[in-house]
Amino acid sequence: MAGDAQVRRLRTLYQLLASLSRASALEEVYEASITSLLDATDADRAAILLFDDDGVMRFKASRGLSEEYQAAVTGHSPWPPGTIDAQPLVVPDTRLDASLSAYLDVLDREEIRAVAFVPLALDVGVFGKFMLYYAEPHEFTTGELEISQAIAAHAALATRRKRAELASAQTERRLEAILDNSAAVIFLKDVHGRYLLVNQHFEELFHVTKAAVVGRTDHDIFPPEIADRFQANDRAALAAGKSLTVEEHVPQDDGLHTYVSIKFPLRGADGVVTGVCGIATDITGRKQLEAASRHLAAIVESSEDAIISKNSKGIITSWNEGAQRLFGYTASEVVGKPVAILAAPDRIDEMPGILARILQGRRVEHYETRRQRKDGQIIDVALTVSPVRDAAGQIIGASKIVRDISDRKLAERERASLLAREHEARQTAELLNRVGPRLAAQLDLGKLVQEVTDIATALVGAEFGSFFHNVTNEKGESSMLHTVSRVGREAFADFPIPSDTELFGATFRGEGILRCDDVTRDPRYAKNPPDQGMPEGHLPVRSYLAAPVTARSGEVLGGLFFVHSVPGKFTATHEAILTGITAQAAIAMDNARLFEQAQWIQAELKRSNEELRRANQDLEVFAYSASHDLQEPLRTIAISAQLIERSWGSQLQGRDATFLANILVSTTRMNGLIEDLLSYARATKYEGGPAPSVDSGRILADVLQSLRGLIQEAGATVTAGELPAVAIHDNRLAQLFQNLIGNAIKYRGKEVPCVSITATKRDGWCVFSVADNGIGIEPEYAERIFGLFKRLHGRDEYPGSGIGLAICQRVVEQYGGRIWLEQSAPGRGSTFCFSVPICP
Amino acid sequence: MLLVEDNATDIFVITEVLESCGLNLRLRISRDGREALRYLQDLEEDHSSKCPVLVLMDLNVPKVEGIEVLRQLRHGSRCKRTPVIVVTSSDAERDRAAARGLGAEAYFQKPATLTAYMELAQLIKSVLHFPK
Repeated sequence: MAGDAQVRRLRTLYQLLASLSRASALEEVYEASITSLLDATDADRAAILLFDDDGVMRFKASRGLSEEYQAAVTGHSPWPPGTIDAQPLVVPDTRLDASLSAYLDVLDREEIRAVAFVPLALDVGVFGKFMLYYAEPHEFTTGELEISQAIAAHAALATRRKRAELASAQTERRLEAILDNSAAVIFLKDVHGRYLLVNQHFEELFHVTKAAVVGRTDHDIFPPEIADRFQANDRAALAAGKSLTVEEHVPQDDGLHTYVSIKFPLRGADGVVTGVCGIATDITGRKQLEAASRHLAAIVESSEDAIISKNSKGIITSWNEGAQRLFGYTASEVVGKPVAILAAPDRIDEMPGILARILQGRRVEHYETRRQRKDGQIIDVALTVSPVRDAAGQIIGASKIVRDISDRKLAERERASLLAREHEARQTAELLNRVGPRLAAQLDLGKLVQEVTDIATALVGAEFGSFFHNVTNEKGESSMLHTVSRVGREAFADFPIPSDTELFGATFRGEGILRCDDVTRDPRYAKNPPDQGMPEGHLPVRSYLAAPVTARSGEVLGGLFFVHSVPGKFTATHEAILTGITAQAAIAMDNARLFEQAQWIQAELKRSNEELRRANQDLEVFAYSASHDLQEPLRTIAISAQLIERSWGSQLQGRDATFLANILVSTTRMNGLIEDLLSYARATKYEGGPAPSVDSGRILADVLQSLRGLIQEAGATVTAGELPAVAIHDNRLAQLFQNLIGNAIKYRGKEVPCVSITATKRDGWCVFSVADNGIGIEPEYAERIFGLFKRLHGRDEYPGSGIGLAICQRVVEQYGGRIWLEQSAPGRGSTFCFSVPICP
Repeated sequence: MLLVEDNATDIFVITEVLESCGLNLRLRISRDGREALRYLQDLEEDHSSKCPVLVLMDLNVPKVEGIEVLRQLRHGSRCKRTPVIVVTSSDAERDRAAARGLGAEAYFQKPATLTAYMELAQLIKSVLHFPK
């Protein structure tokens, strides 16, 4: 029996070895091992368990065991993993072994009464176990255990080998998958340039299969010159004995491609070089990008405009030549710095806004703003900012094109400034045009200066203004008054009138407009005692504007003063406005003064007219009384004398007769004088309306008629030219003609008298001239002859009272005219002229 | 006939003028205005008396102005139609107008010569022969 068992065990072992060598999977190893165990031993059930990676003993294969049992005993091991020199353990009767008492129920339910543990071990120690199960208590033999250990040893080896095989195959598959899924072209060649392996990308690009290419060289696949270059690079890598990176050009269906190839020698386990491996990456696209990029970079660099890029945090990332020219910074100075360093101080706030807009994916186009150069100069620029995205479309920054528009801005500003100035000038002119008539209409000097002060204060925007001006009273005493605007007079009540100080004096001397942004800094300020500046309690003054008001005559009428508590309030425009106002004010004040004078003159004229009228009236009263009270006694004397003469004339002798004759002559003369005086008194203009139009020719004819006797007696010739109509009462004109013609004939020389009357019109007046060839008048008497009762000749020579010319003068002057001796010389005749108004 | 006149020379000359007219009338002379008014008042009251045929009236007489005497004559009842010749040295238009307004028949300005004075006779005759 023993020999049979021996034989069976050997045969089983032989069959196991055959099975193991055929096994292609681990499961086949396990199954074959269990089969061998059951064949070679008396066990009716068997199992193989292995430690997993966590060191837990798990069933790999079994025969005749329930699921519950397997689950219940999984993890049980008599040895920890890796135990060296573990020996089989046997339990002949489970019910008698205390070490398995925990599993007794499980074993009983599975009807197991005996078990054996056989370690599966290698040089690394225990990694698993065989289990042999028996339904009845069992006495283990030595042979049974030996064969079990032998099977375990073979199974352990087979398991390791199979595991290694499987791992190797997996590695190869993985490598192949990596190679085949690589975008690079990968190949292996032996030292003779024969292909050992190519990846799938190689197959696809060059239309070959792996099988077809193996054993072939580059010359079988590529054009000769390409193949030569490849092989040269391969040899270089082999010669160098290390990895080389080369750029290679390969023709493909769509043209020549550029590859970066990494070529390195492959060595066997002994370190001997067995071939060359190449990994080639197509960089054709990148090359094109690079070229495009270089092109773009050239464009950017050569651009006149500044082109700047920045990242999403506003940090400058690129900087072109144009940017350097525009801003003065070199790229190395600014790249990595925030763009904010470029902002003008007044524009820093806008940068976050621009960045935020860009980060929202929106462009900023032709945005005009101001930036600051490295040297601090502010420049006007136009910006175009666009978002820059990465390949994923994420915004990573911005590109910015900056154009210098300083020149354009300057021109724009100049134009705007010109327009503004023109507008301002026009407004000022309009303003002054409105103010002018208002001032001109104000003839009350007091109201005028207040109005000037108010208007000027409002127009120059002063906090308050005042007008100090000189006034002269009726007695000719000069003093200074002042008006104030926007503030009560009491604000200045306690202060002295501004005197001839350094500051005020210039204005009162008429030295032009004085404008200070801050009067307290003016060198003329605070130079005068006692206050050395503003008196205490004075309203605060910084801005100061003062202008003299100068009349056409050059006389300084006064000074306008405007102040503001804030410095720099008054501009050149205010100065211009003030210049206009002072000019208008001066004219208006001149006018107001003239008006006052005119009013005074008018009042004076009225008064003198009244006096004249009263004088005329007095004269008439005198004349009336003369006619009664003077003439009456005279007439009585005359009549009485005549009665005496009639009764006693013939009896009177010598002196008595002369006396009576003197009485008679004197009374007659006295009567004549009174008559003349009466005529003179009555030679006034008729009251009650303007003189009617009178035909002077007709009046002359009447006068000549009444003088007919005199003319005939003297044998005189009277001639007259064309005589116009004049505005004078007819009897007055007749009086003039009568007196002048009468005189011309009366004062005749030895020649036959010749009188010529002419008239010329001039400026609303008619000048009559009466020329004679009489005795003439010494020039020195030219004025005197018009006096009342003035005579140049003896009464015996030429009769007359000397009142004729006085009456003429009085008449002519009543009509606003004039009478004068035009020319005369003794013995050469005289020409009298008088002027009277023509009818309007 | 009534003559209102205070100037003796004039009274003398006018008496001569009346004589030269050949009018032999009883002449009553009043030397001032009040006297003249009293006479007129008497005439008004004494209905038996006759009104004067003519009144020669100087305007510039003492006490009561000649014009006032003339006014009262014209406003009386009995003698208001008696012709009046104003004989005065005034040539004031005011006086002429006043005389005219009170219905004086004539106005004679006393001249400074006797010759001219005598022309008053012609005026008296024309007034008496051709009353208005």
